[in-house]
Amino acid sequence: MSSFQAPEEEELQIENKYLKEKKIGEGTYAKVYRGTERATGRTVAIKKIKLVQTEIGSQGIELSAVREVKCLRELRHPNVIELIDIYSHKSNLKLVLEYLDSDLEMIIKDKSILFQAPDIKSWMLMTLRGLDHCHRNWILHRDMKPNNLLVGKDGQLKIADFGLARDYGDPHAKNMSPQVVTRWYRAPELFFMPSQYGYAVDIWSVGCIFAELLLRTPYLAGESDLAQLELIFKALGTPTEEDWPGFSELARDMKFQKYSRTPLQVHFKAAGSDAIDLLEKMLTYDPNKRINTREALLHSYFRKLPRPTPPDQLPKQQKIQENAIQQNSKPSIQNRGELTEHRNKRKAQEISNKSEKKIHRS
Amino acid sequence: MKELFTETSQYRNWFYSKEKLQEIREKNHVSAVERVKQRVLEEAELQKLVSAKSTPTRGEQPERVNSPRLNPSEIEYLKMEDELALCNYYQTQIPLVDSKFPEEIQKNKFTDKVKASAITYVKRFYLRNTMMDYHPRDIMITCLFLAAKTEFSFVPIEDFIKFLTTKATKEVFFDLELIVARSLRYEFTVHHPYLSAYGLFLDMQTALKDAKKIQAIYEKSKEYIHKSLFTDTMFLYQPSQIALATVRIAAKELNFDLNSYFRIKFNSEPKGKLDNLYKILDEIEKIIKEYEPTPLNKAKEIDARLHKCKNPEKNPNSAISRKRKLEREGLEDADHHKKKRIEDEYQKSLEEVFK
Ligand SMILES: Nc1ncnc2c1ncn2[C@@H]1O[C@H](COP(=O)(O)OP(=O)(O)OP(=O)(O)O)[C@@H](O)[C@H]1O
Ligand SMILES: [Mg+2]
Repeated sequence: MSSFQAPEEEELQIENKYLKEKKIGEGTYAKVYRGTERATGRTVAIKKIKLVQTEIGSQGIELSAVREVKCLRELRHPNVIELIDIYSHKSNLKLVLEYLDSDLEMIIKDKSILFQAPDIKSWMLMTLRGLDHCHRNWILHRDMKPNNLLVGKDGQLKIADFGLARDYGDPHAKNMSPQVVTRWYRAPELFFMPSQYGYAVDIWSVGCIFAELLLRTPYLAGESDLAQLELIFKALGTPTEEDWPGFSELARDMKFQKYSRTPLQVHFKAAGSDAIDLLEKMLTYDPNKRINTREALLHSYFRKLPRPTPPDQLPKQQKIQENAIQQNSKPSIQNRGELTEHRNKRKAQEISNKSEKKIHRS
Repeated sequence: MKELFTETSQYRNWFYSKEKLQEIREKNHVSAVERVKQRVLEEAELQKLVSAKSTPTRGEQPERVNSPRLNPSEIEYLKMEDELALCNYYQTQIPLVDSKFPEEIQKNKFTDKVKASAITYVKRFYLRNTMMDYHPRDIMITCLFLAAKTEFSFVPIEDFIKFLTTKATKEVFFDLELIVARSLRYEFTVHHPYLSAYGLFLDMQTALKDAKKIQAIYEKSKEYIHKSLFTDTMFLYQPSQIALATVRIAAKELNFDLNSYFRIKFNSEPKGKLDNLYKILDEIEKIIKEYEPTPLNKAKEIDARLHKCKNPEKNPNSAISRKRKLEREGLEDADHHKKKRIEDEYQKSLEEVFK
């Protein structure tokens, strides 16, 4: 590529590479379309960033978009969604992403799919590999949850939705926002330490996802922040000063019932001892003692049998496959619609969790 | 850290040899002058056409952009050195612009990192653009606005307009923001030497005894990092190398012998590699020491010349912009018609199915 091409020309060329087709989804700050790369016929997702009016009027490129673009431009990994191209058209920013038609939430919820220990191990491995890549590049995801782990036709799992992500590693970073991570996956320190936290928050979320894969239902589904803490303490025991040095100081204005800790094995009967051990290390109260991505990837859970299922042999959603086959005939749109509706319902449930998701968080 | 640097967009797209950097600037400049020249000629033709017609009603007359008395063929375009000098001037304004904001914003929002990214954005922007298209004052403000966003220190555009008493409206800045973002290829992550310098500071604290001196060296090295941002070092060297060079300059200045530390730190490195590192550090040191800011009177002089050779296409009131606007509207109309026709045909084909 020549570096002397004028930016506008370069961008026009990029825009012309893609054909935008129908709308397939809508998030808080973007509309998502299916598209095709003309030259190769490759299906892509085109994410059109809305121009969001905030309480103080428009502020140019949407902050979540800036965050997402900033992170994805740096990350290249098989388990992180690929940002193929970016262009702007009439003051709208468009992100061209690889197209992935399923996600872990759909798979977990689809009770017609059976999955087994090696499958779970495979999803966990891919999640942790992707997350390790983010952390190695000083990027905190801050919104790890099954819905943001997209799954491709080849079974590869990819971390997506970097709208809340930010780069970390600044030794003086203090002004971190506490309003991150959908509540069910939110690490306990986020409820207490509003502005100082680190990579460990993502690990907690992965722990919750691990538990959800084992249980086939969200592990700690609190209905309010306080209820969430109660739930965590009920499940894992109210932290003592020993579990989490400094906890009593952090929680000094709040009173919590003292729950004692039940061994995880009681609740996760089907899980092997290695799985339980890893889960325990991810759901450790003290963020400084919580396992990190590197250590987790080296954990005996991944080294011992059974081996993780190869991605292309992982269980898939029937619906999606039918849908893919029917894509050329018109009625398939209906299927897509149903699917989206299902997600929208689920979304409505989560909306209360997310209502804090405002624009001007830094 | 070293291997990781090669994974960054900074390494992939914004890291060059000296020769390559020079070549990029030259090609950018040559093509810019050529393009602006063409537009100026086109504008002159259009202006002639307009005034040849019967006197138009007031208000329809396109503004005379650039100096009317100047014959297009006599216009003197900025030289590459002029643009570099002016860029140099305006980037040094970023820390000064900062001081116009209330203290609370200065302290909490415009951190070293935000300012460093803003300066980097300005420099990267003009590797691919010309001041004859976009005036550095507006670009500098836009880059600071964007850097505050990308470094998670968001400051509303209204504050910029209020505290910087600029004529430009927020819509102008939003348009420029996209133009800047595009020119940066949306690569917002910039790695500065600050983090590496901090790492060195911590490392030196454990390896050496004199804590007070080390603190002083660290503080002084930051001043040299600030200064390095105004130079080309960011395009030529890795942030960790720049950090090491600035720490070395600071130590020398404070009469502290870093040799023993360097020996501990690099004792496992092969000699050839080490010699190369010292060569690089010497080069960085030379660039930083030789840096001279552009004096105000020189900036003013170049700026005055810039006003005579601006691209009329970027002035919304020029004849050429008006013509472009009409053309665009025509295209959009055609586009709209085309879409409508396709839709009509589709509806018709549907009806035919049910016949
Ligand atoms: N890469 C992709 N491939 C296929 N479909 C996608 C892709 N990215 C997004 N989608 C679809 O578009 C929808 C909207 O995506 P988006 O990431 O903007 O928001 P979201 O994650 O659903 O919600 P939120 O913005 O609240 O996090 C998704 O729910 C999904 O159906
Ligand atoms: Mg999502």
